[in-house]
Parts: sequence; C-alpha cells; structure tokens
Amino acid sequence: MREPPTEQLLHTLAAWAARIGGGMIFLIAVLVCGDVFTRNVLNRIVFHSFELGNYLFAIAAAFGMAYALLARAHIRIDVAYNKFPAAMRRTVDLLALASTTAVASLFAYKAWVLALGALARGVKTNSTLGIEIGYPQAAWALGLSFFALVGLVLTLRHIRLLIAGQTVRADALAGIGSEIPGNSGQEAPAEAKVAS
Amino acid sequence: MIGTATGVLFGLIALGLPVAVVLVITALVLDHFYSFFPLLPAMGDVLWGAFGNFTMIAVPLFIMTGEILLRSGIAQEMFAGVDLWVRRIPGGLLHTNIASSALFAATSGSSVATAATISTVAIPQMEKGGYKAPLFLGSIAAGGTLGILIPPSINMIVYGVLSEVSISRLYLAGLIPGILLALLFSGMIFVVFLVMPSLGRGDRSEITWGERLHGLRGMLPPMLLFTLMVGSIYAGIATPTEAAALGVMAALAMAGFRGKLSMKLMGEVFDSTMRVTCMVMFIVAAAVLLNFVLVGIGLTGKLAGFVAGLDVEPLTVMLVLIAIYLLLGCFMETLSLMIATTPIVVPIIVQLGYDPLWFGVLFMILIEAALITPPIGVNLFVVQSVRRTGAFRDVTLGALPFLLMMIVMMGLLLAFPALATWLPDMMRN
Amino acid sequence: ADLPATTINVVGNLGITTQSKKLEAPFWNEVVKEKSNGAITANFRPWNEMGLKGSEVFKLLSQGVMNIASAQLGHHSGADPINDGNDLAGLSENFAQFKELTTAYFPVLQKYYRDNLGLHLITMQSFQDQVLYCTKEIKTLKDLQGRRIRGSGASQSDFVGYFGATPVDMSFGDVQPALEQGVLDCAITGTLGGYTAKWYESAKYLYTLPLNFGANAIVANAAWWDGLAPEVQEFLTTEIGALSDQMWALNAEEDEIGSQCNTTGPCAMGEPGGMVLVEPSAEDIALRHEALTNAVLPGWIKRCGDVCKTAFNESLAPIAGLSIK
Ligand code: NA
Ligand code: NA
Repeated sequence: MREPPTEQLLHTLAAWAARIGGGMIFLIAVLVCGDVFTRNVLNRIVFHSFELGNYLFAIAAAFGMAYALLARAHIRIDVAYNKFPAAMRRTVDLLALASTTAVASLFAYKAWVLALGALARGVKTNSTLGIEIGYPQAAWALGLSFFALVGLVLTLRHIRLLIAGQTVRADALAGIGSEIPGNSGQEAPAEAKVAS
Repeated sequence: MIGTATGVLFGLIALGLPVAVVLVITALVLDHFYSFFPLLPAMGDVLWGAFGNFTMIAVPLFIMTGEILLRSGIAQEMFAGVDLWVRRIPGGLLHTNIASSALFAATSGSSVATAATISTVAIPQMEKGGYKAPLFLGSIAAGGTLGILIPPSINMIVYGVLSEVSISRLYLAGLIPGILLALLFSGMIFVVFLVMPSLGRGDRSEITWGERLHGLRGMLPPMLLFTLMVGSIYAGIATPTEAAALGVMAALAMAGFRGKLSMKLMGEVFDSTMRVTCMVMFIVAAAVLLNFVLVGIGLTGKLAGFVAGLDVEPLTVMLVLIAIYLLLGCFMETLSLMIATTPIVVPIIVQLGYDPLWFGVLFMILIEAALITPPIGVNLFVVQSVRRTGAFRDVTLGALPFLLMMIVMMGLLLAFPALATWLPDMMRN
Repeated sequence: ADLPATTINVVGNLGITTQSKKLEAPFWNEVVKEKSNGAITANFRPWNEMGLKGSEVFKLLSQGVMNIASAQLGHHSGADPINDGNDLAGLSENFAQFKELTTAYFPVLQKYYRDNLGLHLITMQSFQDQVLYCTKEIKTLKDLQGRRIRGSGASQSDFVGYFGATPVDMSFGDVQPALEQGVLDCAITGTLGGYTAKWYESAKYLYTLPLNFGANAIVANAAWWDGLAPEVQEFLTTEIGALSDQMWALNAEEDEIGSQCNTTGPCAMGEPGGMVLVEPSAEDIALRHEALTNAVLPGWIKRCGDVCKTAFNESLAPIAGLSIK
C-alpha cells in the first residue's frame, strides 16, 4: 500500500513549509541584526524587525506544525502506552491523531474568525508601521488550516492501514518512538570525537 | 476542581495522547464547568498573543544557533574538548554533559535549546561509553536547564519585565548560582558513581596535558559567542532579545569560517529548528489557553491569597511558596507559570522583606525544576524527542537526583542571599 | 431597598500598576460588596495575568468574555483610531486641561462605543503625565533631533518624529537595560511608572513636559449592561464614578510623587532617583503646539478619517483652541 499521490504531495508540501518556515526564522535574525546595525550606525530603524518578526514567527510556527506532526515530534508520553496490548496501542494512536486534528481544526477556525474579523473592521497595528493586522493573521490561520488538513489526511490513512491489516505501516505512521523509515530531515549531525 | 484538573490531565497524558492536545482538552473542560471568563470567544486572540510575542521569538533563534553549531561540528568539538578535561573523574561523560551544558548556556538563553543541542551531541555517546540510560539522560535534561540561570536568559527577561527588576542586574545575579548549581550537579554525579560504579565506566585512558590544552580550542567558539551576546548587551549595541539574533549570525560566520557552510547544512538547520520550535510552540500555545482558564477560575490567585494570608515567619512563607511552585511546576508550562504568578507573588515577597532581584534567581531555579518534573517537563520531552527510542520513564527518573540538587541550591540561596546579590552590587559600585 | 444579587466578571487594567493595586483591585474585590451589602460581587482579574496583550480587551468585552473591563484607550486605537482623540500627543497643556478635554469627549466616545462596538462606556480617566526620560542632557524639544526614543502609540511616534527623533518599538522590560546600555536615548512613560521600573538608574534627565496622559476607560458589554436591573445600573454608575474620581486624584498625586522620587526626593517609595529635573520653557510649549498641528493631528486624521475630524471639531476644538480643517 504505497502512499497515494495526494498524500505524497502533502508530505512534500509539509517538508517545504518547514524549510521555508526555517528560512523565515533566519530572516527574522537577519532583520533584527539589520536593525541593530542601522540603529547603531545610521541612527535609524529600517526593517521594523520588532513588529515584522512577530508576524514572521507566528506564520512560520503555524505552517511548521504539520511538519512536526509528520515527523511525530509532538510529544506523547509512553509510561502506560508501552504496557498496553498492541490493539489498545493502535486505538490510542488513532485517538491521538484524531484529537490532534480536532484541536488543529479548532485553532484554525478561531484563527480565521480573528483574521476575517480584523480584515472586515480594518484593524491596524498601533505602531509606526500601522499595517493591517488581518493579513498576517490570515497567513497564520492558513498555516493552522494546513496543520488541520495534514492531521485529517493522516487520520484517514491510519484508519485505512488498520482496516487493511497493515499494522507495521500504521505503527510507523502514528506510533510513539518506533523508527521512521526513510524520514528525511532526520539526518544525524556529525558525531563528537569522544572516547575514540 | 483541582482534582478534576489533575484527573483529566494525568489520565489522558498517561493514555498517550499528545501533551499539547491534553492541555487544550483540560482547558476546555475546566472552562466549561468552572470558569467565569469563557475561553472560546477569546481563543483566537489568546492564541495570536501566544504566537506573536517578541520575547518568544528568541526561542527559535537560540535553537537555530544551537543547530548551526551542531551541524558544523562546533558543538561536537566543544563537547570533545570539555571531555578531555573531565573524563577521568568518576562519572566521566556525565560531567562532560554538565560542563558542556553550562558552557553552552552561556551562549543560549533557552533551556530547551541548550538541552536540544547537548542531547544531540551526547546521546550517541551514551551507549559507546556503556552508561546506563536514566542518570545519563537526566544529566542532559537537568544540565540543559542551566540555559536560563546562566546569562543570557529568556526567562530572566520575562521576569524582569513582570517584576520591574533590571534585566542586566538579573543576568549578573544568575552567574554565580549558575556555576554553583553546575558544580552541585557534578558533585552529585561524582558521589553516585563512587557508590555505584556499575552505572558506566566510560573511557578512562591517560590524557596528556598537551591534548587537554589542544581541547581548549573547542571551547573557544562558545566563549566568543558568550562574549558577543552578553557583551553586545553591556556595550549598548543590542537588547537582550536582539542578542539572540546576533548569536545566529555569529554562529553562521563561525560555520563559514570552518568551511562548513552549504545549502544542505542550512536546509538541515531549518528543518531541525522548525521541528523543535513547533513541538514547543504547540505546547506553549496550549498552555497559554490553560493559563487563561486557570487564572479565570482564580486558582493562581487563591494560592497567592493563601500565601499572603499566612500569619507566620517570612521564611516559612517562602518555604510554602517554594513548595507551591514545585507543585505547580509539575503541571504548568514555565512561561505561562511565570506570566500568571509573577505579578501576584513578587509584591508578596517584597512585603516580606525579600529582594526581588534575589527572588528572581530563586525563581529561575524553581522554573528549572519545573522543566524536569513530570508530567509536563519540557526538557524531559526534548531529551526524549532527540533520543526517539526507549521509555520516557528513563529520562524522568534520571532527572530526580538533579532535582534534589536544585533544592539544595535553593537552600544555599536562602542561607546565603549574597550568592545572588554580591556580583550585581559589586558591579554597580 | 436591597439590590438584586449580581455577580460581575471584570477584567482590570495592568496589574502591576499602583492604580490597579491601590484602587481597582480593592474596589472590585471588596468595596462593591460592602457598598451593596453583599448583593454585588465581582470576579476580578487584571488582563496581563490572563496572558492578554491589552489591545484585545475591549473586543473580548464586546464578545462577552467579561462583563466589565478597564483598559488603556491608546491600546485600542489600532482598531478604532477615535480612541486617541482626547489624549493625542501634545494636545493638552496640563493635567487639568486633559481632564477638561476628557469630560468633553466622553459623550462622543460613549455614542461611538454604543453604536459601533456594542459597548457601554461608563467612565474615562487618566494614567499619569507621560514624560521623557533621557540619558543625555535635554533642554528643549529640539534636542530630540537624532535620538532613539521608545514610546507607545502612533501619536507619540508622530510627535517625536516631528523633531527628527527615531521612534523605537520595544517591550517595556527591555527599556531599562536599553537606556542603561545606550540602545535608547530616551523613553516615554508615567512619572511613577518610570520610577518603579528603575529607569532613573540609567536615564539622568527627566523632562517634565507631558506629551500625553495614558487615557483609560472603564467599559461594560452593552447587552449585559442593558439587561441589568435599573437600580444595579445606577449603583454601578455611581460607585464606578467614585472609583474614577479616586483614580484621577491618585494619578495627579502620583505625578507629583513620581517627579520627586525620580529626582531629589522626598520619596516615600524608596531612595530618590537623583535625576535632573528639566522644566519646559515657553518656547517648548510653542513647539509642542507646532508638532500637534503639523504632525500629530494630520497623522491621526490620516489613520481615522472624517469620523475623527467631526468628533474633534465638535467636542475638543473649543477647549483645545484649534480645529481641524
Ligand atoms: Na543562558
Ligand atoms: Na514540570
């Protein structure tokens, strides 16, 4: 049961979202340093990193949530889980994916209500920049929606794998702590030359 | 009500649902039954506030600095260099973990980033050295917490804002207790390994002084970073938050200087930064929602009222406060815990005659304790997420002896307040 | 007659201020209960403790998250620029005139809140004189040229920008070290707020020309308010009015205390800060007016449009002695 094309596409999208999100964090660093430089040297604030940084971070973090879900980075505790029989563990795995999807959907919904409300009322930030806050909020809401979408697709796939009896794949998709086959972005960094 | 909260929280977390999801569920349940201020209509704003917070941005910046140092081999050289100096002491690599954490803490304002960096370097060494998992992992989780006690420190910035204590003075106040706590950790490891050598032998081979001096080179980059990040603050170039961004650039320059900079490296740095950042942000966002409900119910206020109403010695009140924080720290995410309680507690301790600067340092140690106590201990999560296999219980158990040392350190601070106040006082005169 | 039993959920202003500690918190936690013979009780929480930023408070109020809220108007001027009206930088000569302007503006704002936001404005009050704390000597507003200044709100930015200064956004807690290390040259806040935040440790000159006054308002959700028994409405209007009077008095008093504490004393709050007190000259007062007409008012109208122009001309113009064309 290979991954259907739509799901592969989502995987690729999530990986790209994370890559771009990391780039945005890096951009924040560049902007902040730019402001430190121009403020000390030119006596001016050029990049408004204090405000822009907030938006970049919120958007990046929202879009990265899906990637963290695919990488199974969202923390779950295994104290009791490890003692459960396999069927129980898989039920909990399904519950975990479904509840994550539910929470992500709630977040996304609330984010859209906030963003659309701000756009409708033309709310601006009370700062020198004075930009319409609804735009960064909408981008943020879009990121959270992507999180919810990936959660939904993973939940459905987990159900299909369980029905098909593909338990190894199901566990690789949704379990705690098992190895992820062929997971990119998990390259081990160079090892320390200790005890050599 | 506390019973309900604890029941929901423990039950669902133990079941194996994602921690962030459980926090949201707990918040919704408590909100539904007890709160005066409904969460749902406020949720969009509260979430946006949690995501769009300039101080919070420092977290991914510190994580990114760590990732760059890691993937360009600089963190590994630091670790190996430190190791040459401490490996022959009983406890071997665990001392390396603590010393490396302390050194790295001087370049990072985040306990999460410190723990994430040191875990990635140290955990592969655990099996090679034949160390038993629990205490080894505990030393990383606990060592990582030094990130917020040794300057720079995000949590000190937050405390400074809320309590109106100078952040620069807080940084100075944290330095001596930070080093002392690292020594306490190491002392404890030493004694434990003397009593139980079976915990792991490691490499005990002879090392020449030439090798040791050579190893110092590995410690140079973190020293330079510390000088830049803390120095830029005291030189008037950058704010404490901005210094985190300078750190990213400096780490990048160091990687470039070593010829390690490439698109591939940056891609890996971006991916890892996002993985850790988003894991943490999901929990933080959920915890901020829970905080809204807990404050709405009046739980934190009631506890503070209880403390303020105690008709006993100031020291007793302080001990009760510490006990309450240790308890709250088990359940609450640390930034939320600080934001919710600092404005209530600081006036109380000032009234009792304690110095808010001194309390800031004590508070940092309480926050450090919260980071390594289950069920919600973010540093435990970080170590476990880097490790990826094995039971979470290992990390939790291994951190307990270090928790004990934190309590000892708090005792020392109570007995000798000058440990925190001497350095800032001296620098002022 | 006994009032019907009522529980009110209140979100109060920034909990670390003396106004919250001395007046607002005791009022909601104790006073209302005493004065109503136990009929009215409140659940009171400052917004910062709930993890809010301040600028969303009135919106949450209109959505029914709480019944009554108190917050700074300036925080809400991004959503509704009309909130800046009575407290534009440079508009009031002094505290007394600010109070006059506020009284005149009250019905305008009350109508706007009722018609546009679903809110019932109960009272308006001040924080304190918003003054400049500078590290380098300042004799006149012209000295602001080229300095980096942390303020809050668009009208303060317009004001200092007019004199060639760079407005810097920065979180409150970063300000003290930023002044100390020279990241900032000046910062704007209340006279007592700056003292308790220990800005005097790094800033040496207190320039006492007030730029504005940190206008504040106590507001109720209109639907909830309209559903109250008339005698409860009356009780709350009276008592909150009395609270508001106390806030005005406290802030006027603290302006004085703050100035003394920051400079040579006497200071009951702690050691005097030892700052140099710089009194504005007649020339500065003229300059302030110039900045108001040339930068602050045009900037505000640009953000807000005709609504604000009408509001200003109808209620504020006679007292301020100028109108917007
Ligand atoms: Na640190
Ligand atoms: Na904990």
